[in-house]
Amino acid sequence: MRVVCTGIGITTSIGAGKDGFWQGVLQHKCGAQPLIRINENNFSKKYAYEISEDFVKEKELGRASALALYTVGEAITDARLISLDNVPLIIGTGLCDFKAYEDSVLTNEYFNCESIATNLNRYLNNTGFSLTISTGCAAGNYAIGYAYDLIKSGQVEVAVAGGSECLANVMFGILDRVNPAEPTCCQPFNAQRKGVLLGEGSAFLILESIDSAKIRKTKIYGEVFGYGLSCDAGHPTAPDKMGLVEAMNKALNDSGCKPEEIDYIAMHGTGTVLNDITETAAVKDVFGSHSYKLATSSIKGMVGHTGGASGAVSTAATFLAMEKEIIPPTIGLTQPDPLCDLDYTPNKCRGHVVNKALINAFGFGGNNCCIVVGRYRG
Amino acid sequence: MRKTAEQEGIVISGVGVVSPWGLTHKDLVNAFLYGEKEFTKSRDDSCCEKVENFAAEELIGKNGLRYLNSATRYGIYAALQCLQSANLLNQKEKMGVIIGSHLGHLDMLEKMIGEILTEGSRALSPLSSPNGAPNVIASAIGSRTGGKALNATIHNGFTSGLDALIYGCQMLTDGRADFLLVGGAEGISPYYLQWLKAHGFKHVFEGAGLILVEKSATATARGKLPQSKVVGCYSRPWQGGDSVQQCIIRLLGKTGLQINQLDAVVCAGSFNRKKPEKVALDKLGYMGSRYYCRELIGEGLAVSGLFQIIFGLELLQKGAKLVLVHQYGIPGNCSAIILSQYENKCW
Repeated sequence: MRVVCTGIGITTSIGAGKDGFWQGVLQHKCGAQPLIRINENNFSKKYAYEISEDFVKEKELGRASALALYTVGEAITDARLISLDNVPLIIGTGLCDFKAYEDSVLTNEYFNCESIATNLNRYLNNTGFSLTISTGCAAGNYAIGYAYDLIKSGQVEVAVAGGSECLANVMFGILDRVNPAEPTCCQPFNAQRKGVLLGEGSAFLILESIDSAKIRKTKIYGEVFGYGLSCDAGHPTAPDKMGLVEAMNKALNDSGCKPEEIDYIAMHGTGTVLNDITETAAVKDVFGSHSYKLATSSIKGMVGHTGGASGAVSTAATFLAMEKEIIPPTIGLTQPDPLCDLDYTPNKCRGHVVNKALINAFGFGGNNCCIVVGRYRG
Repeated sequence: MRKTAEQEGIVISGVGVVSPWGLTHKDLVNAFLYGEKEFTKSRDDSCCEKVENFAAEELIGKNGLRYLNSATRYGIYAALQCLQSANLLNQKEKMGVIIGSHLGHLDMLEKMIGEILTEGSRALSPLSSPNGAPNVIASAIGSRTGGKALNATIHNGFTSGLDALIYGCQMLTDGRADFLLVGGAEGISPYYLQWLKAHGFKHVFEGAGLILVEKSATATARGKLPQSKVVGCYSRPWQGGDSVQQCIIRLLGKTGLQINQLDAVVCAGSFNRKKPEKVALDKLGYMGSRYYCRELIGEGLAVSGLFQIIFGLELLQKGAKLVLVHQYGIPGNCSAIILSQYENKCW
């Protein structure tokens, strides 16, 4: 059973909606700005990649849920889905609606910390399995992977999967203590990088069996070929190269793909010294000499680290890149770290036909998930 | 086409429990069966049953202990028990961890918020602050047990524990792990306890419940007799009215069973007059034994689902052939699993 992507919804700090996001990519926009919703006086970091818009249902749901609802709506419209009967809703998030919970603790006004999937059920009227996976920065890819499994095993024909993340004081605090530097933007793989900067973002895909897509005569962005999971089972925040290698190799095996078939890697590329160097070394282990032939990039310079949504944001961006035949750039890469010597598509978009791509997502707790996607060839 | 979990044959071959009534599954079962917990004698009128006599240092060791919150400590000990119960000690590369938790990290979150707002982020401990993330429990269990296949946290409200098992069954079926520690862990925070009381939850508890699940063929290959087989599982969003009934009907349909083939149903239960599970079972004409968790031992959110499963295992041990476990959340999901005896009984 082949699994294809037939709808995309995505909103980040560089643009609302799929078209707005892609315009931001083409303009190499940087979504970093001074903090809007977090009190900067409590933190060393004063910048973030916040989405300027408020979402109508924020007060009822929590911002991450409201953002997810908006983005899921876009994906459903894009795929021209009429019914969500028996359609699973699988959501990846790192922090859920933490900010709303934080606010309620302070004001002593209760805010029901329901899962994002539960919140969305109230509006979407879906009857399929609904699940919120909260697995740190790999959560979005975990969600997409599970949706892929459900379709592949024939249990459902269509699934909605992706991730949503908004800022919270606690995560800002955690990052301040892990890295006290004060970046004003994310600069993956740059020698002068000062570490990660958080971002808000949401991306959802409509995944569908090829049979269902053909019957509905819907647009196909590309195909999901497989994915791989691993856990470092070690340090709570520092990545382990072997865990990353394991996840990438599992993804390639699961998809039946050889390393040399991959044209492009959407790197996790957080802009921390540890991640950038470790991920680069892992890619070299997996791809050998081919790692110098393929293109890579990290969009976190443009949209920030969108936490649990980052894998989904990268996957959506990769499908758009395949459609448009343009690879998004790694902006802010003015002086590459000597230990990061791959082609990261520095600073400008590049025309490039991507046939098969690998999307990496590595999270706190050593949770790793890599997905292989590619052009659909009927 | 790949197999479904029902086609694959998933079995339960280990159990670990940390509960307010004791640290073994027998203590939990006694609470269900014999009312070891007396509701009217809540120890400090807080309506929350806390785990007592949990000597963390003795049970899980000193390493990093001071930075771990309650739910994580409970989860780690339950995981170690579970591995011992399953005779599984050296399969780290092929083992994964999936934990359901709705509130397990919130006590850390509340503490960190207070520190940030009074003193700024510098007040946070760099060693304990990563424990504010929702996936801390699963990650800590993964680190402690060495499970490298996968590590996931399910944050799905009341049914987080059962939904973790449903997700885990698919992961096993697709070969993403050979063994999975699956369960629920909760530590009730003071702030959330206020809400629970205000919304009519008369009795809540914290703790952890974990099971070891694997493919039947894997258990057979390593000579381990499982305790039970997972016959089928199903979940759908709660949408009022007949959601529970629809959930049970769909699961029976998936498994080809009739309602009165079930020897027992272990339900979540209800604290108020609305008893959707009782209504659903009555409408379906169910005549067998029924157990209602909230009325017997209270509400444990993600842990409830696992405690219901563990109680179901006891019923199978005592002669039931098929047991349905159901839990729901309003709002949330209706989630259900059917367990059967394995070919031979064993404990």
